[in-house]
Amino acid sequence: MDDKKVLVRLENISKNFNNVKVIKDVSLDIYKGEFLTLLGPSGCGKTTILRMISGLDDVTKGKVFIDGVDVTEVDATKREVNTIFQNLALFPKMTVKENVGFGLKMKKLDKNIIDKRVKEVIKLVKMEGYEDRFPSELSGGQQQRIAIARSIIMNPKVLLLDESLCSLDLKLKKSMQIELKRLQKKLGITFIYVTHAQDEALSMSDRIAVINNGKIEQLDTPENIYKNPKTVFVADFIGEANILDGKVVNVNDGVIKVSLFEGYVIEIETDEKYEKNEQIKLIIRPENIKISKKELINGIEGVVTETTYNGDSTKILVDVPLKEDIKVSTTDDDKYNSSTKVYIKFDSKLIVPLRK
Amino acid sequence: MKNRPINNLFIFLVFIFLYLPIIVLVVYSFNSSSMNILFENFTFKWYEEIFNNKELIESFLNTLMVAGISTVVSTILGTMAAYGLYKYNFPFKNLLNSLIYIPIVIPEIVLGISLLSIYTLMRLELGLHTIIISHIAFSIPFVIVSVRSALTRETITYEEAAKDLGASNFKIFKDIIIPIILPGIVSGATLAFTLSLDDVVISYFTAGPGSNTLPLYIYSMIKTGITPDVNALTTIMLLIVFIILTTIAIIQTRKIRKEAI
Repeated sequence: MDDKKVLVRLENISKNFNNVKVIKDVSLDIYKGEFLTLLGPSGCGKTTILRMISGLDDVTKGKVFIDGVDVTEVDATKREVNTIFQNLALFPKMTVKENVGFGLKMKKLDKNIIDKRVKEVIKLVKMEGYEDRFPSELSGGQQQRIAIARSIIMNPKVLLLDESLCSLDLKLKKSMQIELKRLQKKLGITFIYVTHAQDEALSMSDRIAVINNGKIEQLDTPENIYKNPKTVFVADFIGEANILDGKVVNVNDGVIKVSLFEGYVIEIETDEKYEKNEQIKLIIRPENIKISKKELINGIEGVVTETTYNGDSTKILVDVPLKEDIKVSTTDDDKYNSSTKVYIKFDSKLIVPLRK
Repeated sequence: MKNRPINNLFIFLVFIFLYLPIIVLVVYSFNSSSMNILFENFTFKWYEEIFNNKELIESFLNTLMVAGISTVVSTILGTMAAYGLYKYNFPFKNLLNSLIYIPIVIPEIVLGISLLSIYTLMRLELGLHTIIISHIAFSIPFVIVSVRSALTRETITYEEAAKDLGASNFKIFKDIIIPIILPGIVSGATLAFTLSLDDVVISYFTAGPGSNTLPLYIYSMIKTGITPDVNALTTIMLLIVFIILTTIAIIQTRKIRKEAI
């Protein structure tokens, strides 16, 4: 990724289905060797973007470039891009070997070469010994590996993964995630991964494009997406967040004072210019809130309404003089039972102010 | 699960009702008396008579030819139609989809008369070819319906996956679609064959002089009462159908078992 060569470029693409705008003027550069995730709720258009890259759907407006070549009008069969489908779509009447070798057979390669490559790739995904089985005779994880093998045997420039891990159970999902990253590093193929699961996106991607309503809300590294969400949607969709209403009461050279409720004001550093009396949103993650039974300086007094133990942390809902209960996540061992009186305090450096 | 004996009795009665006439028919085909009332002696006489009856043999061959050609043609056309209806969108597609069922539900006699009037209108001389065309016409919907049931939403992703891997439309159809819809094609073809084999009504309207099929011949035989040679003939037909169906059933169960392992 050092040279930052653009491999896939989407230029102002739009897509209409029966006059409904599904994708609205999306532009996106994907670098060579990168693991990019398109993340969004179902129906946001992320799969459609993927299908326009693979050529299975045509674009209504705009252009698609792969490796510098305009492929907007190029048929899916001719694009050097392969897809791993959501339901994997392994051909049911073909054995593992036939499935994996299918693409090369279509290229009319010599049978010996195909056999050799099939053997290599099956070894790469650790599925030796299953060559003559049918897909229905494999477990979910094994089917996954074969689907991956069937695609990477084509040496695609870009591998597109359409919610490919969704059907697996948690443990298998985790091991497949590691497997995918391993393969991606080894092969140096660019991965474009579509998912609605934010944990997958955060743990696997080099960059994440958060998509909502056919538009990219934010394109950034997982860390930035989590720490500095640019829109309320992103903050809400990625991880847990408290979204608070605030009113700017004082603006002073990179520092604003925001009133959350009568008599409670916090100072936030920001580069953004805000007007006095502007209504804004404040985003604060549950783990950036301090909670204590003892009084905290400049803290807010509240009452615990609910506690959920999560193993590595405890999630506590606190009723404060705000519209909604505040979500707090803590790792200390103090017991916070319901209706305990507590004090919470925001880490003002980690509060993200956003315009509505 | 209560009243088991009574349940069994009902099942027994149903089987008696279904199969007793057939058993009687088979038994009387070996009866030396030419009357279907008393069983006299065991004989193969009627079977011999059948094999010496040139007219009957000829009509039997006609039937095989009609059924063979109409099955092949209607299976090919029906499969193509089912695939086209599944894959492509075009105006009046829904209308066409419902029109397919009309030949299935329409009374045979209406179909027979309308086909006859078309042939007359076109000044087409009646003969075996008109029977074949008619049989193709009424078989196609059955093939379409049975093939279409094998084409599901999943099939679309298989096609897309194949396309993604560089397969041409022809290859997709040959290597991906055909294996998936093969059971549908086989059952459609079987249906078409058996329908053509025993069709009387439509053949009756569209047959010309000298173009007798076996069902038509049998029909003309029983105009003068059921004779033992008819019994013998139907026994043979029964045997043929039984053999064909058993073979198909065995092949299919073997295949299912193989895939289920």
